[in-house]
Amino acid sequence: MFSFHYIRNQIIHLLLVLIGVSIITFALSHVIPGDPARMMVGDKASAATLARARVELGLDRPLTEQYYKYVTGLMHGDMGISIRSQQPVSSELKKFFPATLELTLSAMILAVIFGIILGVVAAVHRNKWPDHLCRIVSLIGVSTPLFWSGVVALIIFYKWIPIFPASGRLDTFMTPPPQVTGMYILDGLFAGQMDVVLSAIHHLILPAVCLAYVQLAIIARQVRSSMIDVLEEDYIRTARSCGIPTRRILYHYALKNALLPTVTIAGLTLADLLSGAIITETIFAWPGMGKYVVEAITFLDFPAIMGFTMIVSCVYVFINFIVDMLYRFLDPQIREVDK
Amino acid sequence: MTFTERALKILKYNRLTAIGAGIVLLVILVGVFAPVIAPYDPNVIDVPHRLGAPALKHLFGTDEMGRDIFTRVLYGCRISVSVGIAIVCVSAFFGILFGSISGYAGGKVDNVIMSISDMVLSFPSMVLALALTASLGLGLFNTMLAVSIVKIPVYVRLVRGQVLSLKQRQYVKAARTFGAPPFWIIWKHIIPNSLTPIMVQMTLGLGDAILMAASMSFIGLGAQPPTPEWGAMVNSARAYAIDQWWYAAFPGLSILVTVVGFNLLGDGIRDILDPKSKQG
Repeated sequence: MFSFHYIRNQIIHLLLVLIGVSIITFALSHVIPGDPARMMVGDKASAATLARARVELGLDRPLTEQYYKYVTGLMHGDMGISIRSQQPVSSELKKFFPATLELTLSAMILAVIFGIILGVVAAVHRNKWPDHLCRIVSLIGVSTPLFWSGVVALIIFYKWIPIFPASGRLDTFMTPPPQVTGMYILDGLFAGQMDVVLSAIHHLILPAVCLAYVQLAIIARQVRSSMIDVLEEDYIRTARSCGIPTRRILYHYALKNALLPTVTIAGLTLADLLSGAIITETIFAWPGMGKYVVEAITFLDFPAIMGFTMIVSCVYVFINFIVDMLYRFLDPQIREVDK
Repeated sequence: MTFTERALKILKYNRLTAIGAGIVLLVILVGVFAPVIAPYDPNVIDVPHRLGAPALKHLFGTDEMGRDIFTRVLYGCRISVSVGIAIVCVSAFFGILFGSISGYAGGKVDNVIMSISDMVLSFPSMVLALALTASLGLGLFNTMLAVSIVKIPVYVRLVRGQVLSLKQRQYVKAARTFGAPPFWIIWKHIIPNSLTPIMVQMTLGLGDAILMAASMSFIGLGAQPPTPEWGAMVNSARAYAIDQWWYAAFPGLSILVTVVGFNLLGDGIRDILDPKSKQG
């Protein structure tokens, strides 16, 4: 399927990118801020306390040594101690990650399904009303501030037509299911607690739809454009002239090829959704990493901010890696070029 | 067909571009004449009239300090649009500088610049901008700087690609043969011929820059109270938005309309400057 050289090169590339990410986060946490020790002990600390903090943080050592210590720490899951809670950042992020993953995965599923449907319908009915609708939905989607759509959704669906809850992951007084994945819908299903599953879905709908909308617009645009290209190909014309039914041409021949570029977009979508979660979680008081980092910003909790940056960037890099492999797996032409 | 003729033709037949141009013109005029149009001072506190609903006296209502939201939205237009323009100009300037050096010099210089550029691109842009602003310190200027830095690699890649193709052209080779120094060749021959895609990218990037800067202000990193920046206004409105819908609605709607305008105009400018890329 993949040549040894290809996989080796990809893994080397992945490692280089991860080293690059670690260099940037190191620079952001150790070099750019005036004095991380001062940030840790506060402005009113004495010179002796400051000096002790500098030694404790290893800031009295050369930069190369600090970087080495930083990377080895990261490899052991050490992202420092949160200034706000005095707890290890890695264990706090581990606690909040499942909620963010549940929100982003749900948003991604919504964005991909509805984005593809909208894109296909627009391409098939090119320059007719479904196409215009797709354009309007896409334009508004890429132009709407995510934080505003969340607030508007709350005003409409919590205050004016009260059908969705405003915050949290479950109804008040409901006990979370026994933790397996940390995602309440899956854990509720595993435990057979349907009331928990329904409550989790009820709480998830509004934030997930708001988060999905921007990405839905981008996917719909991409699918529309690649579907139009494919529909103009000779083999589609040949299929039409052979009398193959339109539905079969669309879904059996055209969509398969049109979806290839969408794989890349969908992969990147997950990464963008992780960034978007910062805002959505803040609005809907969703107890995930995004809300955690915004609270960290309020308290200038630097280790927590950098830990979040590192985690999201690593996920982003891995997703890009997987998308690249998947793309080659799905498209035989690219595999031929590699050979 | 000249540039002006093509522009006029597109504005005449492409209504969406005309709408975009109209919105952008309106936004710029509002920004420039905000002190003339605004009925009140954006920072004057009037507690007895706090959280008032939209009425003739206060078209968009008042906030928790009794400040007129319409006035603050008008002043916010100045801030948000200038921030967007500044971000795009700074990132395009450095993108052109590093992209042309990278493409023209090639070899190790190219490798170093492109590796740094790839390192920056390997972060989700919002997350890197957040971390950068947190490092540099809170505030609108640092947010602008952070978002600009994050956007530079997009221009570096674009310009480098152009330079790689243009430096093989006869007129560039001829200039080199006559002993013209590299910076002169880049300045006189390469940059002017790469301007079309850069302009298209800048216009399309404007809406995105405005959105990103507003998002940073919303999470508390950018503009700080009482600056009437749109993102910061929606952030202040969060605690009141459920009961006083107007507080968050108007600043957010202003961002939406402005970004729609820039996106429509961006698509139109792309069609004017680069007709080959026109989408069906």
